Amino acid sequence: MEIETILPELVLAAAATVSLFLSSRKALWLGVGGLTAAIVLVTLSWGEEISGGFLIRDNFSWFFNLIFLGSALLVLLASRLDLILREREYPALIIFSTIGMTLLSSSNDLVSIMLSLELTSIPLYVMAGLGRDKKSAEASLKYALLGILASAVLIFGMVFVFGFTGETALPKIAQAVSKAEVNPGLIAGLFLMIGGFGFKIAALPFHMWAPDVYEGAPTEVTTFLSTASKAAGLAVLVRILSAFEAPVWLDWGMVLAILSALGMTIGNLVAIHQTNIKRMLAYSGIAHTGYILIGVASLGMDGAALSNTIFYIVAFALSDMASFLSVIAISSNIGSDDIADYAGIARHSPLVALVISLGLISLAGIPLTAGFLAKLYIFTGALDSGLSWLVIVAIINTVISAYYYFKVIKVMWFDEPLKVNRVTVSFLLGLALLVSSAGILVMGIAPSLIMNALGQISLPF
Amino acid sequence: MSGEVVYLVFALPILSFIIILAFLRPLFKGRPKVSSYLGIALTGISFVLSLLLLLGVYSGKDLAASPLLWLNLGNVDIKFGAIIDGLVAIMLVVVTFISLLVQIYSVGYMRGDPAYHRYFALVSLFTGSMVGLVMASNLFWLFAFWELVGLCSYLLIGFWFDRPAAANAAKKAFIVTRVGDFGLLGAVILLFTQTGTLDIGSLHILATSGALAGSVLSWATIGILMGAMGKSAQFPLHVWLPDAMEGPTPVSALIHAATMVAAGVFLIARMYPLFEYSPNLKIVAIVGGFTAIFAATMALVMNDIKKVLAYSTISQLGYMFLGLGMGGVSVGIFHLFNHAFFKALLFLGAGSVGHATNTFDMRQMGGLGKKMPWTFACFVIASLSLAGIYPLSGFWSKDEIISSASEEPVLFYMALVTVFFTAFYMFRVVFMTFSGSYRGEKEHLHESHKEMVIPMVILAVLSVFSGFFNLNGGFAHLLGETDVETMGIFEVLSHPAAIISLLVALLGIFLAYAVYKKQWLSAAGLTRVFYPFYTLFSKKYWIDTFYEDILVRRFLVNGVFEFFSLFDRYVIDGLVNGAAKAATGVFVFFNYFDHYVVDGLVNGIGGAAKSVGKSLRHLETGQLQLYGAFIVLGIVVIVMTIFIVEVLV
Repeated sequence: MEIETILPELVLAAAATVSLFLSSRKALWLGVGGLTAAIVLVTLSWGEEISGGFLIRDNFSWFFNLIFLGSALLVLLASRLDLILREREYPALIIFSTIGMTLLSSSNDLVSIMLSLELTSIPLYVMAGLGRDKKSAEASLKYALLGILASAVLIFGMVFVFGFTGETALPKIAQAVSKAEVNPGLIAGLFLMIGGFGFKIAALPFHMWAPDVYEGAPTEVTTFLSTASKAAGLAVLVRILSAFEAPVWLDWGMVLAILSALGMTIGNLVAIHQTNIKRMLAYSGIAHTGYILIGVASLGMDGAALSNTIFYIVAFALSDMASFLSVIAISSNIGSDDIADYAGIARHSPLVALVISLGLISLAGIPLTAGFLAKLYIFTGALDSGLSWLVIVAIINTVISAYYYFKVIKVMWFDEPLKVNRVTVSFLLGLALLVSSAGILVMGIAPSLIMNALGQISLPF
Repeated sequence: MSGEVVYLVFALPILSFIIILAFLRPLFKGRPKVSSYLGIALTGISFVLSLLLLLGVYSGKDLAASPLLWLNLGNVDIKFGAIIDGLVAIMLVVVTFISLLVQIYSVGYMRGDPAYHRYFALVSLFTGSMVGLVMASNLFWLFAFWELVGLCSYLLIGFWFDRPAAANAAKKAFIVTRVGDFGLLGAVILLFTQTGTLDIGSLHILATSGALAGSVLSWATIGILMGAMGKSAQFPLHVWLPDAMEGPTPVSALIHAATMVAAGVFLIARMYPLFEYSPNLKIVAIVGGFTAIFAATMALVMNDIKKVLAYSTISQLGYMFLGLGMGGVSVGIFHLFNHAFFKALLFLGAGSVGHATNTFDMRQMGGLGKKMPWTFACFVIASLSLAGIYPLSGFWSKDEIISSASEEPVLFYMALVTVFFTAFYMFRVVFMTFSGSYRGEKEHLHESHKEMVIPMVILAVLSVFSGFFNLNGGFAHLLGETDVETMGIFEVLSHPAAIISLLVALLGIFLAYAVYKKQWLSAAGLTRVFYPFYTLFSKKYWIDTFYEDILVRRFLVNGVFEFFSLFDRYVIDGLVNGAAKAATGVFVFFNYFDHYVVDGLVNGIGGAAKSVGKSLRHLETGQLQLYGAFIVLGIVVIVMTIFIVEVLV
């Protein structure tokens, strides 16, 4: 294996390790520098395909690496100064977790998948507890315990797969699976693994940790969880599923379609009742996992499904990023996450209100935003795959979801302000807000920019 | 001149929106008028260009605009393109022209409003979006702009969002029209999946050639009709429009009278070949005919001048649907064209009156004719035109609709009764507002500023003459219809339908004169005699109450949503709790087993097991276990289902 296969990770690991010995501010800047350097390296590698041992670096993994690195960079920029000053390890934790994700999306073997998944998750468990209050500690503990359970389930599944194919490398598993007859062991193995990853991406019914952890963790960490971490889980899920594509007797598409329908419906209906914006966004995230699973479910049937799914992941990550980052800005100023306390924010802080509204509008899927096209692509793709019942469920859900997104917008723009705390935004947070909202609009107006790149992504088996 | 000019018509108002929002609003805080001048100038250019396009189309020039590729969806390219034909050119002229006049009027009307910049930015955005909707060559774009004008409408209805009524009205408009848009979106998706194209021209060809037919065509037209009914406030989706009057009055004139609400009529006209080859054209006529008379009855009893006009708009839009359904594109669109002028004028007149008296309640008005002569004259002209009095513009288009409806006796009589109601309620407004003596409390009433009066005068001239455009079938030719009956300016009076409707309208005016001017009949007495009807009309047939109280509050909020919330709380949580209870039972059982059996046998090991059982019981009370149990339960259910389905069956 050539050293440049993992050059971005080496740079990141060096930056993270050195940052542990520096003061908080220097650590932050070193982290930002390391992430930027990694982004440059990854961008330069676009189109190259390096494969060696446990890892494969193809356009699929490069693209996902950009999503993780970009999210990590935005989250780091947007983090509150007091959090960074208090927790010197915070930048290093984010970066270590990001390294885990970049390796995860490049893994070509069950062993490396498991290892990089743990590298991704363990820093996240710690980060969830950085709020240093009771809620945050509870979130951290819950996340860690359930995460370990999910890992156990995942390993259990991997053991089944290994046991029945005798292989851990994905290409060889794919070969073995394509020749296999109806095999209960492989069925159990695959669905145990889907369960394990379902936890990571907060898909129903493995979603129950999400609202509690999202609410309790510091919002920066929540942002990272709902964007990068979810994208990482989806990336590895897609890669594993593509190895199980061949056998007709293994109809994972239908299972994912049902999970998708459940996730959308329950997520949206429960979100309506939430009064805390972070919990609301958590349920909205569960619903969006459902929408993304529509694309994943049609992977085997529709050629465009892969690029549609990734487009949706990017659009969701940007929209959720814009919403959560605005929540950071607003909540640190008014000291509350209650939607009711957002009343009249737009009156004195119209720009932040505009960004969060844009994020929510995009999540709701209104035209001219990334979210609309993402839905359009995924829905049309699913129709081509014959999943019209799922599209109908999804459209009804889209209508329902507009209700609670617009409720927040209404509260911010039309209700009487309760407090007159002007929301002040630091330069770096402002920059992150600008980047994410510009991304939403650019993707919504000129999707071909990103679609062309997505067209160059394919999976090896 | 090439057809690409149409992109400029679209881009200029959008440019105005961007400049106002990005530069003028932050930089020219103290000088709000800059925004209005920019908006007026750019819309003015748009209007001139639209006029040139209309003349080009009229003179038969080939004005195709080559489309720009926007995105590629599977095997299909979605292009941002424009159609240029008579229908589009007429709509462009109407939209840009009314927008221009409304903006000029707003300079006076909105004077001193703290959100002046925002107002003009939104009006510009609306104008651009409406142009985009009209010219779109592709249903995808049409739908995108359809939503965008809806958004502008929402933002402008809620323009004074610190008033709860305005915020609620905005929400109501948004939600009610969404019901219709749901149908339209369904139709768009259906057409796309069945034909693989969203290009309007191609869809026309597919429909006329019979390639698109049967249930697909039928459902698609139903979906399109639903969208049109939502946007054009047809029964039963009409409830949002009267509430939308909470927006600034010039906005009511532009969006909720002349242009956006007519988008539904336009959409049906645009997709007319699809309707022609489907069985649903009759439904369009029935919806329109019913809404026309239904809304007119409510206009009879409203005391708010803008509410009367709002119901009148719903009723007239119903006429247009009736015209489309019975007569054809030119019959419906001609009424749209004339209606745009006189209804915009009525709203601007109402705005002028409201501006002077600070109220829209007609019971607080009266005797304004002498104080506001220009407004009075313009309002009377528009009312006569709306009532359909010869030779004003309303007469011509209404006559075409009524004579086309004569094939269906029921619709014909409904249309005639509507004519009577229309004449009565309009002149009820005229007499209550302008004659008699002033009943309000404001002193020093005076005529409005000249920038408000001039647009009204221009519209008054058009309300008189715009009907003549179709004298020799010119309007219909422009819409591509060749075999039209031509009517001269005098020979129309020998037409029986025309004479009957004219007489009915005069009767309505006379009745209003008798009740509200001369008071030969007392209004209170009429109310007493027709008390059941009066209650029915003034309570709006209890439809709003039904929607808000029963459908939304009882059924959706307290029913469906509550059900799911309870379902989540009791059934799902209950299942999990039950599973946990069962687990506890097992632990307890082992605990006892342990205590009495194992304990008795091996005391030491028993002690250890007891403490494990105890700690497990402690853990069971936390939610964490439930979550973990749920994860495992989920996987078990999935794997078992697959086993059963794939392996055993």
